[in-house]
Amino acid sequence: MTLLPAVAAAGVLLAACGAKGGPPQSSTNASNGPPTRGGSATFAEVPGDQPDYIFPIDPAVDQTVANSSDFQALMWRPLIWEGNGQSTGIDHTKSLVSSVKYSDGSKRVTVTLKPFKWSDGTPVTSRDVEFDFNLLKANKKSWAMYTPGDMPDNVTAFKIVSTHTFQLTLDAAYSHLWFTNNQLSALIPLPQHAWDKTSASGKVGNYDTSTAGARKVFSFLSHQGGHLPTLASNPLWKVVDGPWTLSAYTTGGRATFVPNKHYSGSDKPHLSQFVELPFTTDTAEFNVLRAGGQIDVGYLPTQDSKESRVLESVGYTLKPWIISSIWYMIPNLTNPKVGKVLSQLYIRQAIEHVVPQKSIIANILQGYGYPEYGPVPLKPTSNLVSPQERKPFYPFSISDAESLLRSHGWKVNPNGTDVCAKGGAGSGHCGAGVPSGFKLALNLLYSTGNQGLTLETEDVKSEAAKAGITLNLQGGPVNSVFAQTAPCPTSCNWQLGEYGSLTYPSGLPTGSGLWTKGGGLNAGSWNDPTTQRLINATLHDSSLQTFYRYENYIAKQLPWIWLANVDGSLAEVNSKLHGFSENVYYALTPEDWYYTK
Amino acid sequence: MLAFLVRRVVQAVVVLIGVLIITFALIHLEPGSPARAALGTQATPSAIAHFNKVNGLDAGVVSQFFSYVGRLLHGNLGYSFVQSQSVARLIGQALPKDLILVGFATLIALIIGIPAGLYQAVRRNTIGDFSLQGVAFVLYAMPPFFLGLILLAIFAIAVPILPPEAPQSTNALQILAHPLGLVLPTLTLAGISLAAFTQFMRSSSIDNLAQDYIRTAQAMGLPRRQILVRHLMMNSLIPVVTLLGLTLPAVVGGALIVEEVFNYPGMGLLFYHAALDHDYPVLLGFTLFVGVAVVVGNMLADIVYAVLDPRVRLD
Repeated sequence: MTLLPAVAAAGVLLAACGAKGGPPQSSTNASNGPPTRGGSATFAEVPGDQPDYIFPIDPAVDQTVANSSDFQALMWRPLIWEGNGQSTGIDHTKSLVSSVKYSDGSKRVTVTLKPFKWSDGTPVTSRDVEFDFNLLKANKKSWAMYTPGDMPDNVTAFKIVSTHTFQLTLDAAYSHLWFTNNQLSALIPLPQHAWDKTSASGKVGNYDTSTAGARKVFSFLSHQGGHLPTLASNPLWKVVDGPWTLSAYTTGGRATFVPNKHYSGSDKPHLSQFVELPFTTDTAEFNVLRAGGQIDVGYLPTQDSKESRVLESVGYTLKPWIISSIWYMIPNLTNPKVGKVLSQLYIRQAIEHVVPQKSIIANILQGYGYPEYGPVPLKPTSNLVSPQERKPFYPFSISDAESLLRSHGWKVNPNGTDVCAKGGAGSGHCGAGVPSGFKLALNLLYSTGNQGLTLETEDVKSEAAKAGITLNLQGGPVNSVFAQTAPCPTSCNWQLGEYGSLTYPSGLPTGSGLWTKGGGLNAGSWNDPTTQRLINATLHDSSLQTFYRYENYIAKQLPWIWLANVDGSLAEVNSKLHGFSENVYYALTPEDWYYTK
Repeated sequence: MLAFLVRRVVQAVVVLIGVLIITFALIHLEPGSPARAALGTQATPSAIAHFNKVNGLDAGVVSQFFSYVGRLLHGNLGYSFVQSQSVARLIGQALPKDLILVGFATLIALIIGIPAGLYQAVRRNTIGDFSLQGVAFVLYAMPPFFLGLILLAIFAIAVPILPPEAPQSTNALQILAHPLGLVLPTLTLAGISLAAFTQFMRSSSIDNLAQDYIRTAQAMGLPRRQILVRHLMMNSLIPVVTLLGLTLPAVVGGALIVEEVFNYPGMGLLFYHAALDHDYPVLLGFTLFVGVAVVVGNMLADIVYAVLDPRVRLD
């Protein structure tokens, strides 16, 4: 699966990781009585991220939280529902599978579905899963979540065993944790009996069983899925198995849902209506929140985080919404000028030593953040965080940074710029490719779209200067920074890049695609056989120790510089609304929301 | 008049071609690419190549320009690959909002500003003049977002008699069906324009008051009302008409800040997001639209000059 790079463009971050079961961690408003049936609730969309694609196989251009987590998932349930409130792992109530069994040395997976029905009364069957699988297989390059070698490439055969049971034969033995959480979660049963056609007026057939047919079906459905004026009226999208159905939609992104009366799950909606509201900016959303009454679940923009008491006075409760994400600064290891310098581990360690995470969290993030010491976020709480990664390998210390540089042949000039005194390789020297006289001045390209990120970057620059590391800040619009922070030779001129955060879509945060050779997000061109081997091991071995080995190695090697992590969102919830829980993958579950008498 | 119009239309076409060439060149000089913006950093080179091919972005800039002009001549403004809608549709949704908002705001500003400026000129250096002058300066100096937030804080939060956001429909009739939602954004915009109109009218009227024809009219014993309205006001309106002509591009260009504050996604935000997202077709369509509005606005101003002042000959 590919990962979602998210940019803090509007004070709220885009999408989200992990693995364990258990009951949902309720962080809901205290209930004063039994739920009542009925009522309406509204949800504030993130500015610039409105739902605009309904077909639940997203192309890259439409792969957004607003589409996949906040829109499509309300209508079409995946096999595996990732996230259980503020806990990583699987929510078995919302998942469509009743069991997943591995056999044949973990090369065969047998999945049994719950007895669900589509909204038109037809049962949800193995054939519906096969339909989804066939569409993915024939159109994988058009699917945003596709990573070569992963689903559907790693499935060599799909066999329908019975109406509710199917079997996948895999090309290798995989970690159960990874395959269930990262691969099965990507499969979404689709109503073959209603969607397997190539035109609006065409008859339903079994077109998906041939590659050419599946391509035609996909083309038809994806075109229909992006046709905004008919999203709420197109009969295709009326066949759902999720708890909600779309009743109205405006092209500006306002989406109104009503309960699917035939929903088979036990988590049936209490509300009679759920509405998603678009906003032009954080300011507009905050203004409406302050006026009270129009938004039931909104968010407090990070720049307004001191205003939570104001919102409390108009009936809101603040609920920090933790998303499994990581924040980082990427060193460009192939930059012609500084690539050799940044390739030195001690240089990256020195930079990590000058990141004042604790003070950033306290002073800039107003406490709505937490430290980050490696590739697995410390929050939400998960057993995937190794005991070693719970503490910093390279804690904030200007003197440690200076010592590292001195011991590697640098003349340290606090509040000036350090100069390499002993160039070249060898013990006590600056390192291979770093000549004598080289000044430790690095350009840091960063996104100016988020106030918190800007302040954090300026703080790091200030602390780095104390150790004689000069960071020349180059701010730019988020998309521009995004585009420039790409692997060489596509983009070579940037030296250090920082555009926001990355969230793991679901399951095991393996690092595949991040630090593997040619990985889509490996912008700094990290190329290390040990990393590759350790990542591969996590895909095929379920043991936590294997995962920890990968995690600790990456945390210490610093392919990216770890920065303080930010709470995904500061949710503001109408105090009269109950049942709201902050899913760690940003999924919305309004079917659990309710009012009391 | 006909020769004037023909001449101005030819000039307009030349200006618009210039605007298109400059916009096209500037957009392509910007770092980043629409494919990266649309597909994200994880996009593979083959996905980017496919995207560029599908959207005609793999050809040279000159070739892309002529393709665009060709489509334009067939009435096709292009298709936004970021928003998955035609540019014409996007503009069609956003434009009525600004026509209503900026249109009403301008109307209010004119209705209040013209008599206020006239009053200030006639009552120059009186308490009334000083008071209105003070209000005008304060409004003129105030950033729109600040005025908007103050109005919100008073009328939507402290004394909640008006909604904190503008009507949310994309349909003009439905927007007009919720007039209360339009009050605060309209007043915010009107407040800023009002100051400009008042000051232009005041200064122009003061100049005209010193003219011989006013003294002649007074000496002839014409009624005061007739002197003020028919002679003074009509002649003093010419600079206001210039200002009004310059307002037309703002009507179609939107009011970004007010749109942001009052959650009213119009032309301003359409352009702003298109610029951030490298949404070339929208940027070009918008620029063309505003370019046309500038040309038409100036042309209308010239025509109104001739109506107001018979000495002006368009030919």
